[in-house]
Amino acid sequence: MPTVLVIEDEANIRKLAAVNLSARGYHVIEAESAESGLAGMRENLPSLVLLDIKLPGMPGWDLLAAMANDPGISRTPVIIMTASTADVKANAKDYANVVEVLIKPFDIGDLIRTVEAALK
Amino acid sequence: MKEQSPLIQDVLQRLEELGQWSEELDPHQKAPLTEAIEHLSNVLHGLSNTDDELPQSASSFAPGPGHASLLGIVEPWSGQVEQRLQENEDLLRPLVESINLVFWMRAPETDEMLYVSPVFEKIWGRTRESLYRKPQLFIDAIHPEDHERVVEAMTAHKWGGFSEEYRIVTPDGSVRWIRARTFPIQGPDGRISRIAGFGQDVTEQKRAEEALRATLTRTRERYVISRRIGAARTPEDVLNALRSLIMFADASRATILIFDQVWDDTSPSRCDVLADWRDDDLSVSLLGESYLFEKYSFEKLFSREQAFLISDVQTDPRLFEGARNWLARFETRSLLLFPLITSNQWYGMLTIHFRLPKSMSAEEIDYFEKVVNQAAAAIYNFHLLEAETRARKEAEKANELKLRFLAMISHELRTPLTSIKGFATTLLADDVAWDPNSQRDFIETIDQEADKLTDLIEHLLDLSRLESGTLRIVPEEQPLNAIVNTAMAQLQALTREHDLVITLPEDLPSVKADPQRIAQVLANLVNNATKYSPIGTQITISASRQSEVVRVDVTDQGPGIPHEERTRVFEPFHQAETEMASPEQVKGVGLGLAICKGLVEAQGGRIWIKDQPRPGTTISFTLPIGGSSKPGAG
Repeated sequence: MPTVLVIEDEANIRKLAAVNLSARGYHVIEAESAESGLAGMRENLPSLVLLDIKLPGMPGWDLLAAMANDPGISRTPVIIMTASTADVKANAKDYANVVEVLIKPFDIGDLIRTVEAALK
Repeated sequence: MKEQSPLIQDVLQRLEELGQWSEELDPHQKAPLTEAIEHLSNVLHGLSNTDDELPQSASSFAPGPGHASLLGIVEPWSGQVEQRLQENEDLLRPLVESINLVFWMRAPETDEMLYVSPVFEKIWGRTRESLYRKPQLFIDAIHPEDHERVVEAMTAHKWGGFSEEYRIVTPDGSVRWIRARTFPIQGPDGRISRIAGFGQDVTEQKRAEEALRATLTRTRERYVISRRIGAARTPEDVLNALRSLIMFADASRATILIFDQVWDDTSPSRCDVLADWRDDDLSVSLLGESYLFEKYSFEKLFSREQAFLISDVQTDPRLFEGARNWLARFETRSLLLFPLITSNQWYGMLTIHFRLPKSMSAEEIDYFEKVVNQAAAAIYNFHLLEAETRARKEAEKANELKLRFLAMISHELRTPLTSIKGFATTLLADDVAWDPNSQRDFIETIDQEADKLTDLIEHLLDLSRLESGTLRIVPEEQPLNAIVNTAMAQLQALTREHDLVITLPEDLPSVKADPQRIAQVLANLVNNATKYSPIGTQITISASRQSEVVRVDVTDQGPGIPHEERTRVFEPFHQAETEMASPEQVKGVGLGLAICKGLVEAQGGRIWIKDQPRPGTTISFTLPIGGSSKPGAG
């Protein structure tokens, strides 16, 4: 059973991802900041990370940079979730492990399909 | 033609010298003196050439008590001059009085005063008899500051040749200027037997000279200051030029305050410090500070009409407690205030601070006011220049803020929308059969997020209506308690994780305000407080009466707002960068305070953040007192 780490500061969006992925057989762990997410990643070595890029405190981009510098987690695939219309997609190209960028609000069907594809 | 005795010849010769000396005088002073000299000469020319013809008896002409004993030891002829002078006093009086000239005769050996003319009494304010009795009076009357110099000269010229200008103090305490000269007079044996003296009251002349000198000094001073103001490159230069006036040598601080709007029908709400000078680098600089009129009751203190001096800030009743305490921080004991007016527009104040109680004549203040008026235009230009630069920067910043706001608002709208759409599509999914509890939970979440979205849109609409001035406000007169009760349910819901304390004094007057809108302000402020302060800490709402307004304070124990952010947080789209806040504490798009400001101001109140050391924030706002609670209202 693959483990998915959801890093998201909005409690309801975290819940949204968690209930849907759990219902489809994934093991979901949650973090509400990049700092706690990084710690959880190093500890649990998840198969996939769902990352909200705009986080208070340490930004999602810094988390991606930290992952790239840590051989233990540098290849873990990441799906970015963002409500921002800024150049998230363009900036994400700098990180090879970012497999997809989902723009909020997104369809749950899209989320499930993206996760499945990433874990194939 | 009679032969004249050597004594009379000598006196005549001295009179001639006196005539030459009078050449130095102003024409209007010289003329009567010349006349007096001529008359005196005529009197003396008329004296007999033989000493024998003159009475020998001292008592016949003795001018004062004690004089008889003196005559006993001097030559027999010696009394004739004094006697002649005595006899001619009435004739001479109008002349010498008109030029305030005193003539006297002294015995050089004994220092006894043998004769002094009547004008002495008028100038010295003492009787001639008192001088005859006690010649020391002549020295005792000298002004303390001139005493040493004059006594030294008198000693050096004991035998004549004394020529000094000095001040005397009369018994009533007034000060007069005397110009005095003495001449030796030789007896037949060639010895100096008399010292003749002339003293003239030159007080008026001296005063005129002093006034002229003061006028010249001031003219020069004004000229120098005008040039400095003309060459000034910064408001500080202007301030330094003004402060260089001699009368401000002991100033401890000087500031230029600029109102946020020209003061005409409506008073400004605050003033900013455009320039600040202080006599030491240790005390705090006020440059860039901003002061609310509300807080210091400036509207009562500042006057457009005239400059005025507060001689002692500790006791002056015009000062409100807040202003007094504020001034005490800089050890200011007295304060000079000048309105800055240019083109009939009253735009600011100049303040000069002193560490000691100060008194100043109306003329001095008037003079300085003229200089300030000259500077007012220059200061105004600097202010305009600065305002323009600031406006440009602010426009750039506003543009940047608006762009950021659009990005933020998009983010803020998409976040609840993500939950709404997400849970809706979750419920619609074909591959999962959700149990009824989960279904209910998802629908409740959708409901909550839809409420958040509604609130956000309401805020945006309020802000838009406030900016366009179309927000409907219905003020009612009622106690603050009633307004707080209106907001109570909302306030309690907001502070479930905090300790809400409401302390309202029982004797608060009624306020005139829209209860719904003030409830909204309170809810916004409390909501902000909960966002920024640690869970479990206290959030306080308190109120107090401040002259004609009621002030409401909302205090929290959050990280506080940096000093430089305190005005800006009320601008729409602004959100303070609170470096001390933990991640989940930075929320919202910064509309709350902008809305509060708009709502409070629309009801005739003001809102500000209290200057206090961080952490902790107190946001205060005022509401006007209702008509029936105002002092004097029936």
